[in-house]
Amino acid sequence: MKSFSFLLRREFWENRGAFFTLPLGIGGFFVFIAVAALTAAATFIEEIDGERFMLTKAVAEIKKVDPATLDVVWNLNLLGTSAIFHMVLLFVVFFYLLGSLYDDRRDRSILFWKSLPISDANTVLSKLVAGSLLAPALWVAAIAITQTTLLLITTIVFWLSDIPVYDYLWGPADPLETWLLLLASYAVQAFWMLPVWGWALLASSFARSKPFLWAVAPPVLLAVAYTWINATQYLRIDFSVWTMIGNRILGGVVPIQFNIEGDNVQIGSMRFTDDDVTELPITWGTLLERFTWPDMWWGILFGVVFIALAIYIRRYRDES
Amino acid sequence: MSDIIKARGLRKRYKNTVALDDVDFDVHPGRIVGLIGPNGAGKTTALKAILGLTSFGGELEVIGLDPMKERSRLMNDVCFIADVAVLPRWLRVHQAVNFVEGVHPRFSREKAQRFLDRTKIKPNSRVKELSKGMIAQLHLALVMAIDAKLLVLDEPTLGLDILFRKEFYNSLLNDYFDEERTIIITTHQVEEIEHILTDLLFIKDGKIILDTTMEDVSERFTEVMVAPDLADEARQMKPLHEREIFGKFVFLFDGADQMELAELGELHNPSVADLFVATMKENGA
Repeated sequence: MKSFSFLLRREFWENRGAFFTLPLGIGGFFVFIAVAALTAAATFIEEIDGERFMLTKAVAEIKKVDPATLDVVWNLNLLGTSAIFHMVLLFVVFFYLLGSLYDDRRDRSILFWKSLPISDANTVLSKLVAGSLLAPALWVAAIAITQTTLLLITTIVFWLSDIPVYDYLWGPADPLETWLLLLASYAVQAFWMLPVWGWALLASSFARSKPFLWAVAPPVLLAVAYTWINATQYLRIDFSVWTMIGNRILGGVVPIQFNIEGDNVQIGSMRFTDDDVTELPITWGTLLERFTWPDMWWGILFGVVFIALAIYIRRYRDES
Repeated sequence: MSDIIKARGLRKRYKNTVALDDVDFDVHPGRIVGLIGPNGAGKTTALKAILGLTSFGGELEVIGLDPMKERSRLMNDVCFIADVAVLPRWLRVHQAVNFVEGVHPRFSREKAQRFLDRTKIKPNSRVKELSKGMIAQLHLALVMAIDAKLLVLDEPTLGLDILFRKEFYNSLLNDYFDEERTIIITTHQVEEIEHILTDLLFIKDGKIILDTTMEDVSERFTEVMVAPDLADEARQMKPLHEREIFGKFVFLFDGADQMELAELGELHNPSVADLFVATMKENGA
């Protein structure tokens, strides 16, 4: 247990930039945009009306809204502004895992790691846990820092606009629960993504060069083959590999997509319209519900097989 | 105590080459064994088999364990340095110490710190900022702070200058080695380690061609410097090897009578390097 925690620390030391600095940077960018937009809006409105602090009057329009309906608005906003983080994190984790069992073979430092009393299973599992749990937890921390800053900025703007801050913001918004929900989502997401992460680990462990190609080419070729077979019309398979891969990657539980097309809002694989927005797309209930999907369990099965193969190759392949 | 390493009929074949051809050898505790052979002789394969890094045929026991089946347990008692370039470049010195302390039950932070204090290595430096010599010092400090039964060194000083090489072997001998520990070393710079070795294993084309202790070497092998007029006489005594220096001939004999040899000329103990060249030639190099 102690040595596993050091394996995780090792991953953090090596990947501090991707695990923590990057999301803080994205958050900083968000805050910068928010401040810049507010300043620009304030200046613009002031120039038109020739009156100072007109922005506050525009913001005060929110008082026309019933504060009781604001809880979903705020919490949906909190989830929505986190979506870009989840999207980027998807790439970060993928490339991290792809390099995790490959880079140390390329620079031969694997011989140093292998000189220590650590089983190869623990090594591989530490990469999986670092990518699917540790990195997301740190990213959620960065999201929390970003959103706290944005909420504080909103608080100041509300103050200046004479809006009761508690009634309109801190009462209805529940950032703490949102962040806990995101953490829990990532715990479920780790299981959902197990086949993808396991596949990345396998490619990383297997490839003697170009792990990216090994990870991407086989599923793409498989999908193309399916498309081609279907196109011949001799055999119609009511199943698309493209859809399967797409659903797996984008259909996780964290809000990856936040498309607004007209009145439709899509968060992850859940779709709903404006009228239906009376509760949040992610709840503790929907998270648990995931484990009743057969897809979830098929994914876990494949994931476990891929990871076992990655461990086997890491342990037994002669790297000369 | 029983053998540290026991190999019986050890075999390893790569696609077109036989790296280890039915090799038997033992390594006893408290010895410093030089595993010496030309490039491609099977040295590294033998070490990899010992460390559980490659599969093999035959029987091999290291500290009573099967290196293939019980590798991670074996690494509690076995340390190795593959060569100087293997410390990860992003790692910081203090992180390396913390990590090894965290995962190795027999690591002593105080010892490692003592070794590091003697160097110019700064705790916050990354490996990539260190010179090759400093990386070797760091690696050695980490390894010497581990209370292991067997230390395996595969070309540990490759690419280091002579000062670092001398210092490397000095610390190994003075600060690390004792009768409880065993060291196996491969290197091309045989001259530099022959004074610290207690045993020799010469390997060529996957076979052990000499397995002896340094005490036996001085008893078994004798070098005679012979004037040209006595050279034919010396040749009739079937020397292992002959070479010419300053118009005189130097013959190397295996197990010949010292009294008889003394009549031919001046006697010497052969150096390991000369012995190596002679045995390699004798075995058809």
